[in-house]
Amino acid sequence: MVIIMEYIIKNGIVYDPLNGINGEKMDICVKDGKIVEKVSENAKVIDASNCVVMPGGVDSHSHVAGAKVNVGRMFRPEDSKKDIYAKKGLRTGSGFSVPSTYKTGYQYSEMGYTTVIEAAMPPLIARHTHEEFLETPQIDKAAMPLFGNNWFVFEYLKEGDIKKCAAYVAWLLRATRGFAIKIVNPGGTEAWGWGKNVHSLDDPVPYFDITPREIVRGLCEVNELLGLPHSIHVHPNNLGHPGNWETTLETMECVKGIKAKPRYGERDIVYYNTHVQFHSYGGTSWKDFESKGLEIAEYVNKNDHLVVDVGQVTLDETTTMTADGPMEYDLHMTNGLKWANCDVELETGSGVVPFIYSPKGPVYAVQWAIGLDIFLNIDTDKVLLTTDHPNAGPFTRYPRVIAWLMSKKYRDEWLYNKVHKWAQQRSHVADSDKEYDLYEIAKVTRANQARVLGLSKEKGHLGVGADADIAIYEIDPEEKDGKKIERAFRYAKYVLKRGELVVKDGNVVKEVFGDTIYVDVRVDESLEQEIMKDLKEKFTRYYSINLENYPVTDEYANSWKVIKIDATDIS
Amino acid sequence: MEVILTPKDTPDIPIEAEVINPDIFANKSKEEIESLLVWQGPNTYPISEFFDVEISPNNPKDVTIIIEGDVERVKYIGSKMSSGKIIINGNVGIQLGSEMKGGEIVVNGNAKHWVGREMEGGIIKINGNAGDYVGSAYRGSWHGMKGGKIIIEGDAGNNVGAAITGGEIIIKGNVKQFCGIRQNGGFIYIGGNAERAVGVEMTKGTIVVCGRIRFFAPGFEFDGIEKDLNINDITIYGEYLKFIGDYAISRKPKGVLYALKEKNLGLIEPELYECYDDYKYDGGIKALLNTGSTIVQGEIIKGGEKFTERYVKECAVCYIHPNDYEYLGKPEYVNVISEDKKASITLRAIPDSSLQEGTVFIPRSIWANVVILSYTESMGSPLYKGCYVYVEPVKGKADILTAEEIMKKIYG
Ligand SMILES: [Zn+2]
Repeated sequence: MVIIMEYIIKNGIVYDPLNGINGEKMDICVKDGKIVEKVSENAKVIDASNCVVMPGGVDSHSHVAGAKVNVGRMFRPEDSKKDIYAKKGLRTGSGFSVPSTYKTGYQYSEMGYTTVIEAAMPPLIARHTHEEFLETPQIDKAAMPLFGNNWFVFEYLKEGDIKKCAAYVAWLLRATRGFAIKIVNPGGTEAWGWGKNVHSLDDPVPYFDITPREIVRGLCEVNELLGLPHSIHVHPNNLGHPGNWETTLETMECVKGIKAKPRYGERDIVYYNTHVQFHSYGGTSWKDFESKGLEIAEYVNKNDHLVVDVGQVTLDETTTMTADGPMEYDLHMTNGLKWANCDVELETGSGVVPFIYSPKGPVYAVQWAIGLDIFLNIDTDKVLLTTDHPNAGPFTRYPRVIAWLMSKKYRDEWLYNKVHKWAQQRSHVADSDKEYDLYEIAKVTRANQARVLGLSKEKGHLGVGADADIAIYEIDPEEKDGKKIERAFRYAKYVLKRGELVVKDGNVVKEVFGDTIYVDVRVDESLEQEIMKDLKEKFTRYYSINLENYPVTDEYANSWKVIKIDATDIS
Repeated sequence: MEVILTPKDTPDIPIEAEVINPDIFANKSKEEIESLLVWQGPNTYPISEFFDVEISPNNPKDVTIIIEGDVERVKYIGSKMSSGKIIINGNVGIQLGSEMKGGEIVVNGNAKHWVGREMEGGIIKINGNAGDYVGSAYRGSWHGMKGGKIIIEGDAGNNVGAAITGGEIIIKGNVKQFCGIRQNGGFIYIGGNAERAVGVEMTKGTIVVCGRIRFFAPGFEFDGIEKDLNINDITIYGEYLKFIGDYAISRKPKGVLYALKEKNLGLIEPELYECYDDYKYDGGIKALLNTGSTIVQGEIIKGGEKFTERYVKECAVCYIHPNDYEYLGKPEYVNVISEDKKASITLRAIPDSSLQEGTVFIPRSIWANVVILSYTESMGSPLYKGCYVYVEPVKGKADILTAEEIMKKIYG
């Protein structure tokens, strides 16, 4: 027996930016996991009166699975104890800032999110990420392997062999079942292996003598040569240091002129600057620290080759984790809390440190304000809502960020009553009257993400043929009460995942397991042969495991969604 | 209202009884109290499964709970309570008064670990000994006791007052290792000795040790002598060496550690240092054992040569401070005996001046494993660093067992 699943979502107010639908009352039809023109009379009716309907949320940058996330869980039992998730019929979970896998999936689902991209996968331990994906329900997942401190990449780029570098990237994406090129503190994490860091775009990496500029530009060219769905995804140098905004602008500028040539999807940008809040710092020390959010927003507004996600500080006690090893060491030396550090052979490293963003701390208040400065002054087609979960705050705070954006009243309540006065004095948040409408909220939480990830054919919109990933929130489009906005986006009224009703009244009512998305690029065979020679040599000489044991195998996903790309024209 | 709980049997699986709390008992009838649920493993049962409940119901808001008998396998009694009183006439299990906010608990017996963990107010008095983690922070956290008072008439275990930020802990007897670790406020008084690393990583608060400090942490600076201390309105008589620390964790630490001068002169005059009086005995020493992997050992293991002579030579050894080595009569071999005296192993003795007196080092290997006890502080890993062993010389030649022989002879 074939069960045909049909739904019709009636009377909702639809926000679907990718199709230009801005608050129209219309019905949405769903059949067999897809959005369709019409359904039969047997379709179940979902009454969305007094609700808004949006595509399922897409998170383009979040740390939810893998080795460093798990280090965070293990070395923070006190975080685990703080938030216990126990609901009838569901797997129990725990962890406020580093939730266990099931809790992660359920809570994203409660918020109407249906796709989440893990932001940093160390290639050598990709299996760990995929193992956790296997146990993360409700959402489609993908992971971005780290390339910005990889020895092969350094050597190929140094030799000027962009094609071999591309073939290597293609191989590694396939071997690790990875989705896109992630770059973290280009060159800095390798330098950390030598007890050092790099501090500017032209600061050479010890031994390899390559600069961050060469790494970023080189990988950007590789990205467009291969025609990957997503652009390079960059966490620039000097994260979290006062005065870093200039490095940020220089990095943005260094890839200008490279043309976007995706062979899949509809991406039009070549550069994605993640958690740009952490990279928009003025001043020379924490004493004269100030927001350069406006300057960064202005650059983004004037240029068409990039987007940014914000990494909004939510003023919580959280856990920082990144492949930026030297940055985590600095953080640990600043706050004196426990620190974990890891080196991943020829590829990358990482660090983990708990962090308390106290609203009354002057620096934290400014960090909070910088994120808002960016949000409030940027072209909303070019910005994405993240908290760099869990670095600037847990993803469960997205609804609060949405409330800050939608209601000046609510934002000001925080600005004047809850956070340190530096937020008023050293940012422009107080000056802005900007209030996001739901159309813009839909852009910065799903539509923009889908477009820049190259997934806008199937995700981030409600047009016919799209995956029936749908979020329905009970909210009046004119709502300005911060608490009500927060509540509405924290607990969706209904959520459909691939055409199945998975959340009702904020509760997960059905456990489903989404796809793991990865990119399989075919390159010319003789080119691949050449890099295999190099791989064999390096694996024999330096790696702790054999080349044959390196690739992630088929059983590491509930279901794979492969994006196949033919790049055999590179030779 | 007075509620008398008399334990029926010792439960096989421990029970979690945070409902034994005057706040919860208040205004309840006998039947209501009897039907309160406690956890045992994955199940809940009414409290009457485990206790006979008697009740004298005058003044139902002012509750005193009296437990008549041993409740060593009952956890979380008085956890989070904010008022009233609990008297336990017997020994009690872990987490007594954890996260307590007010009221009073008196134990006429011994208490296990986590007494007053992260408590914020109220008083806990143990008229016997207490286990590890008195008043401390819970796993991973750096916020221990914030307020209130804990008094232990006898001894306490490891990690007393770990990461406390306020409140008062009075231990009249001895404490074991890491007392006041990461302390950031509050006051700890130790009437007896403090073993190994007292006050380590402290940044604020005060510790007074009236007995001897053994194995002092290196990050403290001597700051003069003070007489008759007055702390929290308590006068503590005698002359004290004052130290500030821990400089190993902070550039400007404000932690103050007082050590009774007459027992601790060795802390400021190294030639007077004798780690403690009683560690030497006729025919041996009682030493603090540290283990760890050596570089050579790692090389041998990675080469897959664990069953070679070379591995035995590297690992079946006991490093001893030269003074202790001399006291033992410069033996070629020693017997190392576990603290419970149930296990021993013969090892080659090597004098090593990089060790502190009273400590020995054995590479972390099958030979060390023989004398390390199963005690884990409920951490899942035994104390591979900082357990005690007896070290005694072997006269003349001795045989060193190989790994295979240890497996056969010792573990059968
Ligand atoms: Zn990140």
